[in-house]
Amino acid sequence: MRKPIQKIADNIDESLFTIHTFDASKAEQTGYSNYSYWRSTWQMFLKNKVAFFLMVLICILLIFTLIQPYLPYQKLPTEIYLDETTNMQLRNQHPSIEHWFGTNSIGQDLWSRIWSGTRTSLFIGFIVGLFEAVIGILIGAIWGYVRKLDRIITEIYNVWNNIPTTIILVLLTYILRPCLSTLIFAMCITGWLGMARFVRNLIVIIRDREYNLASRCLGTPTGRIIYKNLLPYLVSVIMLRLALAIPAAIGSEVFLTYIGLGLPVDIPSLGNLINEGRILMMSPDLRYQLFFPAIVLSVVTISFYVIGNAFADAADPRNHV
Amino acid sequence: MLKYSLKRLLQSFFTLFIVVSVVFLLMRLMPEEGYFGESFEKLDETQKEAILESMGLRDPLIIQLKDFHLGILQGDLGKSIIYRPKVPVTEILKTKIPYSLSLGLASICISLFCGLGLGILMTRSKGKFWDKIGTGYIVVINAVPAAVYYLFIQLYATNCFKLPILFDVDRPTSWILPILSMSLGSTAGYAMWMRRYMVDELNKDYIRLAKAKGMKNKTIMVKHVMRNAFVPMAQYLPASILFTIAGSLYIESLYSIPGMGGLLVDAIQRQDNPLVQALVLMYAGFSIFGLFLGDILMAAFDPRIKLDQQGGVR
Amino acid sequence: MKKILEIQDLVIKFNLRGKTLTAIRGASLDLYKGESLAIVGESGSGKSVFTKSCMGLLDQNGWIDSGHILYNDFDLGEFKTEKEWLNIRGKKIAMVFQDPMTSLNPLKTIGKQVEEAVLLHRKLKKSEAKKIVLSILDDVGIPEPEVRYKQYPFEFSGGMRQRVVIAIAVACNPEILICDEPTTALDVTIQAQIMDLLKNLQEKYNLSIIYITHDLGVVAHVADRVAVMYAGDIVEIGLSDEIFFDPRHPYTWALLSSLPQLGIKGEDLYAIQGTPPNLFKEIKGDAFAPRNPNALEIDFIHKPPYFEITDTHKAKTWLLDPRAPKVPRPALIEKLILEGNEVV
Repeated sequence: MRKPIQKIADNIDESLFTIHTFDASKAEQTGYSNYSYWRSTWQMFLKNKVAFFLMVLICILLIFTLIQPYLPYQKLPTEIYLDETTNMQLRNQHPSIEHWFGTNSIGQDLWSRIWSGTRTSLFIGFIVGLFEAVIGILIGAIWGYVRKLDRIITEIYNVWNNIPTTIILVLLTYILRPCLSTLIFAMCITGWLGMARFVRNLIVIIRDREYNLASRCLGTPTGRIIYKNLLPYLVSVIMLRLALAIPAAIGSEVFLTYIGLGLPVDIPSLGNLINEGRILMMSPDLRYQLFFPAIVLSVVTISFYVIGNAFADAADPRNHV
Repeated sequence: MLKYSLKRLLQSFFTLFIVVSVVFLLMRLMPEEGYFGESFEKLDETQKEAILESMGLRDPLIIQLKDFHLGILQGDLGKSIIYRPKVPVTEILKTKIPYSLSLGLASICISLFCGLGLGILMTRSKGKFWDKIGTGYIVVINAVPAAVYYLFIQLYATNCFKLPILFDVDRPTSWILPILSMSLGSTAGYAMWMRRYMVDELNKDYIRLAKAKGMKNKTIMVKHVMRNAFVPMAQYLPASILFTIAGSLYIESLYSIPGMGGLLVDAIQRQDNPLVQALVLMYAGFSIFGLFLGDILMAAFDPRIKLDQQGGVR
Repeated sequence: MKKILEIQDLVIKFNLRGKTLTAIRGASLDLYKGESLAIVGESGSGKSVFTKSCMGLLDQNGWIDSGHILYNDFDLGEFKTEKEWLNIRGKKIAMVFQDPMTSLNPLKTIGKQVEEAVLLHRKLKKSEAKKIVLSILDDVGIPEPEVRYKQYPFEFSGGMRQRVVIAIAVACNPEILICDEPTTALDVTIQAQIMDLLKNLQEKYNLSIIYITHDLGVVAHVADRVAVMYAGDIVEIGLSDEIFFDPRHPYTWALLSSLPQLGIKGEDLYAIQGTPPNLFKEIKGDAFAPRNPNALEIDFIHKPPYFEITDTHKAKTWLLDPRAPKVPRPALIEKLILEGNEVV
């Protein structure tokens, strides 16, 4: 016995109760997903207002540091300015119309020094970061993937890691003249270790996952597996480390300058400037010489840090919901 | 377990041996002028030779290496040649270690307490007020180089709170700023990792089951999440404790603390080989054995870990 | 029989990447005291979501849009705070999850984990609680409970772990037990043991059980009533015999036809053409219509209501309307029913 439960069923046209011609293709209309990894990443990143704001800020800052020397009224960073009347060095002048951030203890314009220093520090950071990324990933990937090399590279890593970087830096400073390239070279050859180990740990974890075993069974060459299967998984963490490399490089640079292994004084860098300011820290009216470099440094490092983390979060597919 | 420990121990000693030997050789690549400092100009050839001879630098390299290792095995770390001439290295270390050690241990206690606490607080209020504040704190501490914020702490704390600038063993208030400065970084580190591990645990299936059992969220946090999240962090704890001896270069110089902080850098720059070698032996030893102890600690916490799968990078 | 749980026209939606997905589209279900009800359906039909909503375990991006879940004079669909749910979870409704390998805390002994469940719902001293734990472990068929009490999950096999999970669920002394694919992750031989165990426990502890499964073999073994679910709606529900020997909904026909049968080598296996619909879009009419060779024109326009076949058996299909043409059951189904009758 069949009983319709609802009365609305009665008002329906009789003719509708005929068999519909079956169309097999309509059956295949599934839900389709227009998911695009990079678009989702970008969208997630944009949702983070703070990170987006800082990214815009950093871009403006970068452009500014590059065009600053060509703007009008700019002074030279290493020129010592003399008072016109007395011919004495314009030392420790407070910020004024002439010198927007004031002058330092030997009469150099602080505004231009800071921007020149930022340029230098950012340059160092980018180069070291790039080198770290390329070499670190390369070695890390091979280290993690090729089992036979694991023991050897691990021993090399353990030894290298425990040698104080200071020794290497001091040696290099003696062998090569202290200058910008020496500093960059020194930071590069000690910095790649961290990235390599990091990449290696991740690769060890995913090396034996089923999709990689499947690739190996199909005879995919090692290089291709690394490049197509493993590295895309690592993109988010690699971008994170890259972004963090810049604050790290600036930090190293400050440290090196502090112990006397930094850049020579005639090349301004944020590290130099902080150290110069540090000496004068305790007298209140000279404090500006510490503040301005510190503020610029903080803005730069914090921005890169936040951007890096925000991008890493956005690039994680688990967050793409 | 015992067999594994012995094997790790031997591996650790081997690595240590290599590290120390490499450093030994590297130091001997330093230019000879460095051994004399300012008096380089004033001395003539024979005097310089005599001095180098007395430092043992004229013997063949292999002999130097052999003597060095034999010395270590007998517990003799040599005498400082430049930093404090003729003073046994162990004496120098003995006077300096207590300062760095006590400050460091105090700092670890504080940062563990505050860091883990902050991490838990941040997880509990995920996305809300405390999480945002905590994240801001971690960002600033991690991004800005320590040297910079140490300066600002010293500047403002001494001016606003009238805390003393120079460290004095007998004045407790002079301990506050150094310990505080040292704790900031580690607190941020512990907080960040604790939060990350806790959030990872929260997504796991057994937490769902605990919820389905009828457990309150708070109880789940305390009884399941916190304990499980702490396990991966235990790995780094022994090494951190050991490394407190190393002291902080910046803090000790900012507050004039006669500790271990600047010793290594100083020794390297002055090319005081015995001192450098002793320090490297000590620090490398801490690093290598510290991680070994960390692995054992982790295995103690996590019954799943079969120790023979550990090892690897140290 | 007394009705203890009544779900009426439940609609559950999820927010995914800014778009709304309707996972449950007006499903209704009744549960009677002491019975075993099985919900069958393919992956993605919404079986888990349906039952999780009864315990407040929906993911954060999901919500109950409309409908009621009536239990003991409460409308569980209206619950907002954790406190309200704490009266239900474990105490009244407990759940056994699918994957025993990850359902237990790896760093706690299983004795402790079962004890937690016991102590959450009873005020007892530790020693008394331990006695209860040991007796429950015995009930679920774990040998040497004294020894196993102190062991960790990784020392147990999959089947044993699932027994522990069942022990935890039962330890809460619930009225309703929801088993979400309890045997899917286990070997076939263990499956039978676990199903027998659940049947025994049902009698001993006077439970009403809801089984979620996509395995019709499991259903035949234990269920009193069967509900067939498709695309977030229950399309047919009836006694176990009625569903197997008198299926009425075209989807049920298709489901039964796709059971692999012992046959002649070289015969094609039946597979339902097409794939389930996209739940992001609003579905007009019967969700199964595009894949149904016997669909009527009206199936594409109006959603069919329940048509009663017997007091206990109803199905949502326009084929049961008196005006519809008589569509016979597929030959494969007739053959199955014949063979089934012979066995009986």
